[in-house]
Amino acid sequence: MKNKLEEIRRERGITQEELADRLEVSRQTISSLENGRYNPSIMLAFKIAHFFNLSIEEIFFYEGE
Amino acid sequence: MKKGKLWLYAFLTVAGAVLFYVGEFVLVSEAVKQLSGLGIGLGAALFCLGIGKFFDDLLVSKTEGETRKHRIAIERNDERNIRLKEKVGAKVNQVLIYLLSILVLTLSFMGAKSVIILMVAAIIVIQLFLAIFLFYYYGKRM
Repeated sequence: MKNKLEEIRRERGITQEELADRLEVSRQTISSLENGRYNPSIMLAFKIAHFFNLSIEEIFFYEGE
Repeated sequence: MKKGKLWLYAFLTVAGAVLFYVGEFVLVSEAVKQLSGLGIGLGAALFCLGIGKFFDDLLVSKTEGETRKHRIAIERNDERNIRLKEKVGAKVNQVLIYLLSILVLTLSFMGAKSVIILMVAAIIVIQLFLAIFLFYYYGKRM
């Protein structure tokens, strides 16, 4: 699942570590999310969207099989 | 460092030292060899734990300790880490079943005692029953 997480994070001037602290996840999780190696749970996706004040669809893109 | 914790670390260190001494110098006869080994091992572990925790608390300031605890809690509850652990556990379990099966066959061909073969086979059976039971247990709750 692709996402614009890195782009949005950089726009807001937040580091991976800061974002990880605010979302209470590890920095590696944020890095893996941004690289597309890891898909977040629905809870985490909501947390991220809520943090950036955006909808989930504005951050994550489902591409299908 | 809290006084209560200091007493606990001191107790662990002293208890470890005493156990080690008893295991090494008091229980010397062949009849109590196992107890001696247990005393030495447990004593050494308790001694190191007491000393280690004492210095750990001494060197880490309270603020640093709180931050570290917070980080450890985050790492422990991190969903990616949890998924990784579950995946690793499942893979290790799969590999172990194969290894234990090979071990049972090897022991049988080597003519090992039936008791030993049965014990290893029992571990495989317990693993399988546990897997089935836990599958249904978690299945009902998820």
